[in-house]
Amino acid sequence: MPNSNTKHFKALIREKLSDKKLRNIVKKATSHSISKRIETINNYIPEWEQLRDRANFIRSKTMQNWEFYFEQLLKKFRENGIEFFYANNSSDACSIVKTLLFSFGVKKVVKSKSMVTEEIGLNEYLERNGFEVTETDLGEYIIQLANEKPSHITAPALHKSRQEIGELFSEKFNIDYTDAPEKLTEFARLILRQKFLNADAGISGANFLVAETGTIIIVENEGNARLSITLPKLHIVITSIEKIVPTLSDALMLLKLLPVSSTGQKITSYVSFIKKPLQSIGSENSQKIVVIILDNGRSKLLKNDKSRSILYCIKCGACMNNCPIYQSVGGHAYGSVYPGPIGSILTPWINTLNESKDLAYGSTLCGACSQVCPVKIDIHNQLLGIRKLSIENKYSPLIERVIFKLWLLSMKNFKLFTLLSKFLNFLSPLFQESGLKIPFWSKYKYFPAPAEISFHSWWQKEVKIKERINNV
Amino acid sequence: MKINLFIPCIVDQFAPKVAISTYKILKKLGCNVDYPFEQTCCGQPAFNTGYHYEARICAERFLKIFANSDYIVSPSGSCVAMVKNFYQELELNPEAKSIYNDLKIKIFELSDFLVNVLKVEDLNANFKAKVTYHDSCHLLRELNILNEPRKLIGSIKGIELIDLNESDRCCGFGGTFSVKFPELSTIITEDKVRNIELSGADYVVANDVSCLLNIQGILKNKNSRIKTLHLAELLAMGIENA
Amino acid sequence: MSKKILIEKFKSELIKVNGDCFVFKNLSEALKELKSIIAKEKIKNIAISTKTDIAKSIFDELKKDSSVTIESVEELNKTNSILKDNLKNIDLGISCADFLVAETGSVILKSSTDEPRLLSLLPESHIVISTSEQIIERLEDAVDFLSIENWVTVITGPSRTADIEKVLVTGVHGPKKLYVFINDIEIS
Repeated sequence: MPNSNTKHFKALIREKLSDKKLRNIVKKATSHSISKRIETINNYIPEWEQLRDRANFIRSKTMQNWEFYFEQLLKKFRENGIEFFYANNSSDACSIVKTLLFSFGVKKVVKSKSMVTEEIGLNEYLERNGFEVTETDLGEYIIQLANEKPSHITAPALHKSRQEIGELFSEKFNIDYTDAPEKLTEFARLILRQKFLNADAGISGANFLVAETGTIIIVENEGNARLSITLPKLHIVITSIEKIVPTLSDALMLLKLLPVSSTGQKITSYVSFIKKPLQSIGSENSQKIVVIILDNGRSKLLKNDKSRSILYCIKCGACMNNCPIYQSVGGHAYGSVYPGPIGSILTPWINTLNESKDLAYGSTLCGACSQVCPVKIDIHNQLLGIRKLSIENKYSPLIERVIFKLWLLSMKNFKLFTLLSKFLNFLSPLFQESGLKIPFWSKYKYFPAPAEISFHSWWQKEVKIKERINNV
Repeated sequence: MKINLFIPCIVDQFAPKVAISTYKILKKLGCNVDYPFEQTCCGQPAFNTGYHYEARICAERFLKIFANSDYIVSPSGSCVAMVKNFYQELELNPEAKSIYNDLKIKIFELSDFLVNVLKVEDLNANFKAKVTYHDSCHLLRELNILNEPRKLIGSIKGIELIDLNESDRCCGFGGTFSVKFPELSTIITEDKVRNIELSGADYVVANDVSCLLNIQGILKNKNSRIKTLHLAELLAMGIENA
Repeated sequence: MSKKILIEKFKSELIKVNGDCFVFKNLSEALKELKSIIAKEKIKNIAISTKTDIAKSIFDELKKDSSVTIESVEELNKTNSILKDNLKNIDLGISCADFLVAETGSVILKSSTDEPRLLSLLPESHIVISTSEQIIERLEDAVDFLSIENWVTVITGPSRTADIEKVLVTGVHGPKKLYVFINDIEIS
């Protein structure tokens, strides 16, 4: 995976933690999304939990019978005149796009938000091959100008302050500094409108691919996806295998959950339902639509009963908004394309386990992610699953493995346990003032001295002896 | 009806008062309480870190010791969740598996047991203080215990229970997480402590010693006047005061 | 639910998402409101889809107004010009709705040669002409329509973003203003 750097998770975390400004921005933004979500659910959707159950059922049914729905989808694509490619990995996907763009004589590309294109590193690839690529989602555009990566799957520039964005615009376009979001947005509108009008191809993601009808559903707020798929004569959809849903009704059902979970909106400003390429009008040529579906390790999950649920994800971002870790360090700390809890469980499957296993340890297992997941992915259990796999593969440090062996020894041998316990109790007075020193922990937090008398000892003295006296 | 106390190892060694309080509360309510003496650890630290073999050995040992219990009661949401919900993830031997199937519906966290099994919501306790309550993650999300501790605290005469902002946000402990990522853990705990300080309470109450030790770790370094208190300790002190 | 309740629901939901709704009984009411919007938004150039009779009448009436220029998509299609070039300098696009969704304040628009996507996308203001007959309660009620049609857009309020510090800004790439005109034909 070209766009991933998860090996340095711990170092990145330390770096991000030292940035107090970043933490404040991320906490404020995620808190905003959290409260909007709760407000909408409480005010409008009393049946929220039933909807989640239903969504979970749809997703699990789809992923279990994925091949069936996939075949159905392809048949519909053929009938509807939509061209289709299956890409096994990132480099396949990139070269398919390149070939298409060359064969259509494309020079300029507009892109609407697609995390899959981030996953395959499409922008860098196309730029290396001489294409002009412009991100058109405002957040993505900001990120592209700053030469950064998205830090959130639905709000790519969540980590940036308005001042930073103001400075960025002022520097890049040589305009007077302003940090007013309205003015910055208006400025981006004017620039990007010209990009849209002059683009030869539009690249978008997709939120749902409906097997029953072959409908491509795109959910957005800005209108940039609609422009990207309408103005250019070539529309390329790049998405991943789990976006398939069996029927339109299923898609509408999931649509009830997606924007609410993401931003607290009941529905986004625009939802496009596309079945066929636009037909020619007057002197204009007909449009062409090409769909590229990326696998990149995901089909391994289809066959895995324990971890298939990772593919239920509809990319709402609620798990990261609600994650205390994400809130503290932001998305870049993860070093993965998909940050937050869902990223920590998906990345080891699309990347290698050894490289990205640390992500799964960067969680308190508090379960806030699973609680808000609209399709009820058991995220915290999946985090535990990755940890288990990592230990089975002996990816953990030797010292840790030794510690757990010794720990087990003292836990299963009661005599040894008692001996150690007595030893701790004996040491207790030494630590009364300073507290116990625990490696790593005690640099930041106090830890109390062990008790002078453990509960085991108390029980033996107080209860057992009294019982014996009473019995005599 | 005999109750077998399940006292997590961290309580045994670092907060025996919580266990003693649990024992006293149950005794006061007329329960027949026993403490299976050979118990050590339920295996949670190993399980959460991914060491399923080590966790399974602990789990099988635990189940053997607690087999044939009428009820198992523990002053820890997290350790009860380990046994009740997560033992099924371990490849237990058939004997242990059958004990587990029997015990998983007989194991209760203390406040759950008091309110939902013994149907006690008022312990006639008396304690004059301002307290705030932190929802421990496993207690809330694995065991679904939200109102029980609040009911019990609310029944104490003289107590003022103040809502804690973001009460259901993790305190940042997470077991080995706090050792693997100490700086990150500390940042999250500091958020928790800030909210606790904002509440104006004298005590922060929770049902898990691990959360309380973690929160205390920052409070103590800050020389804060706010004290941590396990629900069992609060109830037991209240009963003594009555 | 009665039409009246559905209209009220639609209106309140649309207003919540920064759109506006105007219920009219006859053409002159619609024109009066339309002209006040034209004045308020300083609109000069209009393009209109004349799919329905009421839209045709509006087109005919506005043609008489010398302060604006108005073209129908039907006419534009007859010329051999490129649609995006025709529409890129338009201030106001007027569309004809297929359905209105009360639950969310959404407009359902089918794209066609008479009702091109760009009409509801390029101009800074967008007006949708509809009738009370077109109101449905929930989006699911239009599932058959969605499955038959080839290009459908569900529009809920003006284009919006919150990509800068979660501050809501309307009119990023699509229209900055959205007005839905409902002809209440039960009353008229």
